[in-house]
Amino acid sequence: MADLVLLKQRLVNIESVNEITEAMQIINTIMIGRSQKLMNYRKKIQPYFDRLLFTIDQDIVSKHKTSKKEWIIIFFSEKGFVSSFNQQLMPYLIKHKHHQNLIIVGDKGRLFCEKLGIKYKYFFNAPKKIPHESIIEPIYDILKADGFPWNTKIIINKYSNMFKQQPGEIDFFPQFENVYKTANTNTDLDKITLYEAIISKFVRDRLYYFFIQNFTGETASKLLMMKNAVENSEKLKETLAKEIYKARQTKITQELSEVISSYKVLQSREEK
Amino acid sequence: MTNNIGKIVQVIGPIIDVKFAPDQIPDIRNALEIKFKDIQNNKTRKIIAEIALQTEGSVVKAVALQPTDGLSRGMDVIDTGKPLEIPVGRSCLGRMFNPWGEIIDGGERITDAEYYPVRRPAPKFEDLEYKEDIYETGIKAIDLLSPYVKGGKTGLFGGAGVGKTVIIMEMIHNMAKHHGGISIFAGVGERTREGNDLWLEMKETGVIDKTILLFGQMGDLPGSRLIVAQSALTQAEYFRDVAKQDVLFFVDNIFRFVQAGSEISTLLGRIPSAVGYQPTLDIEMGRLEERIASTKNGFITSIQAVYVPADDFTDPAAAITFSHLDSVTVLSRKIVEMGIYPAVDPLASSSRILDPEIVGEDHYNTAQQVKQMLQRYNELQDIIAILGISELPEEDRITVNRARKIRNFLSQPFAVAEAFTGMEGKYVPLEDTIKGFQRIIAGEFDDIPEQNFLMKGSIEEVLK
Repeated sequence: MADLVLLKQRLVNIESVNEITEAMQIINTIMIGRSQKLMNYRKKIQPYFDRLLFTIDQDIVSKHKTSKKEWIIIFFSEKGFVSSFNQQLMPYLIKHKHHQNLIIVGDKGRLFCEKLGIKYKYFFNAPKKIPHESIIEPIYDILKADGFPWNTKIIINKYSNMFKQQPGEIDFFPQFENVYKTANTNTDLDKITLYEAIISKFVRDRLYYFFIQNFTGETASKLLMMKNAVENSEKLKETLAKEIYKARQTKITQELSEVISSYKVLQSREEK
Repeated sequence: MTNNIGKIVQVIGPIIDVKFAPDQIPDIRNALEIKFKDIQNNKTRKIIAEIALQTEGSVVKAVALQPTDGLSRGMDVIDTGKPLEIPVGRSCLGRMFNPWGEIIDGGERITDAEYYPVRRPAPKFEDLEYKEDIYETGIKAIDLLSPYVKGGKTGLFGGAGVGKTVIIMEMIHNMAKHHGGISIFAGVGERTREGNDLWLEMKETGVIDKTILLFGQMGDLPGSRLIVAQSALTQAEYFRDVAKQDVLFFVDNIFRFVQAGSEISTLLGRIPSAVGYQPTLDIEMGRLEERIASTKNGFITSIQAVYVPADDFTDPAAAITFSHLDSVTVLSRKIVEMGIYPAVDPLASSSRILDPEIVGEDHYNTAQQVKQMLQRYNELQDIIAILGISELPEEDRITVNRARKIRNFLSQPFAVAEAFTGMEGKYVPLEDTIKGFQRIIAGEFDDIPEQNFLMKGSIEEVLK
């Protein structure tokens, strides 16, 4: 029979873990609602942004296409408890491990790189701010410095729904230009002013979209994780509680049988 | 044999009340003999009993060693005038006895043996001698974590069916192949089949010529089960004191000795102590354990299986045995449930000689690191159950992975279990054991799946 004190101590520990996971589940439920709203809104307006990009003179845009620089931006989670979320991205990280221009977003990605000895060019992590200006602005500057290379790729867990985040490699700039190429646009602004206004807005917004997508996926994954953790701790609590009852009952039965048997012996002596 | 004859006044189970003449009351622990004609087969039967208590009216209460069927009030009881004696000496080697010294192997009677009383005092304090050498068992989990002491006392603790007897059998098997020397085996209140298996195994391996077996098994009366360990010890003492030889002394199972004492105590009407045990539990155990001692004449290395009722290590029988031992190997049901044999609990097992000055820095450090890793793994069990192993920090994940490999590598195929496992038994020298665990701790095998470490002898087998 296990030690009653130890069992009780274990139960207390599990109860506190249970409380924490429950609280985290609630926080994530609130957060997922907010970020889902943001993401859905962003999803809706994305085609308009893409279309806007092609209102720029295509001769100016084509200079980005000739840029030989290529950046790969990989979005990982910033905090723990979403290991499967991050693990999904590992094959992509390994695939590009020798790439010269890796940008890692999220602290977990940095840890993976350190573990696997992968060298990255930049690492960004902004655990507190939403939206993440601290991520978007520096990446924007990096891309701008290289003339917004058209071959920039994003590796991210694409958010489908609460239970599914599909990892994938996405082009940063839209590749379906033929659709918009023929778009009929009239503007009074000169080409350069228009280009600068649109490209800066497009890149920042695109980065923000990926950030929101990553954040939503991470939150959903964490929410699911916490839900499972709460269920597991409930089960563990139940098993432990049973063990405690059993141990306590054994102790009571033992004490009773000791008292009764001693009484019987004394009684038989008195009878003699 | 004296002419002091008493009469049976009462028989309750194995307790016989005998009335003697008021001026001829025999001493406590004297052996009594009752000869009578068994009406069932018309043969003369002899029952031996040992006086346990003297009561009012010159009545003594004696504990019968054989079944009391056929006894009746008024029958004559002869006081032998001395305690129970059994044959001892070289002529007993290779033979099997019951607790009162009768041969039970179907062989010829021993005629040239000396007779020693079964109940003897423990050696004097000034005669005692201590050694601090390891007794290598060839079992990795034991040699690394709870090394046995040559000339020391070792306990194998565990609940029902966790493999205490199998380990004892394996040690006897290894002893035959790697050690030699005299060994005495006391079967106390265990299954008769196991005794038979042991007898056949010993005959097969040829170790029987250096062994004496004594059995007072499950079906025997409590008196028989109570005295068999003492009888076996008497044999061991002869070889230690007279032949001046080192002896290996196996007892399976010392708890049955306590249990038999408890049964008798109840029948004698004593008030039970904690958990229903006899109030004399400490002294009974103390008298037996103090006799298992190494002296200047020779060493008795004892290995005792201790049954732990309901896996409760706070049970008085288990707790009292702990205090007498030099090393303790605890077998755990949880480990059995994982299919790891021998099911040695690495954290609960310990040894007096697990000290860097005795076993050496290498052995000590390796054992401590193994324990630390397994302890950390144990602490993380609940977190793993709730959040999953993937959520652990990298450092802990490495610890857990290595700890699982260590846990699996503590398993080992046994020669005596070949029929069940289908695997050849392995004897692993201590040096190989230490080296193997050191390499796992160092992370040399981090890329090998943990299943590969299960039921392997040396680390080289894992790599094959």
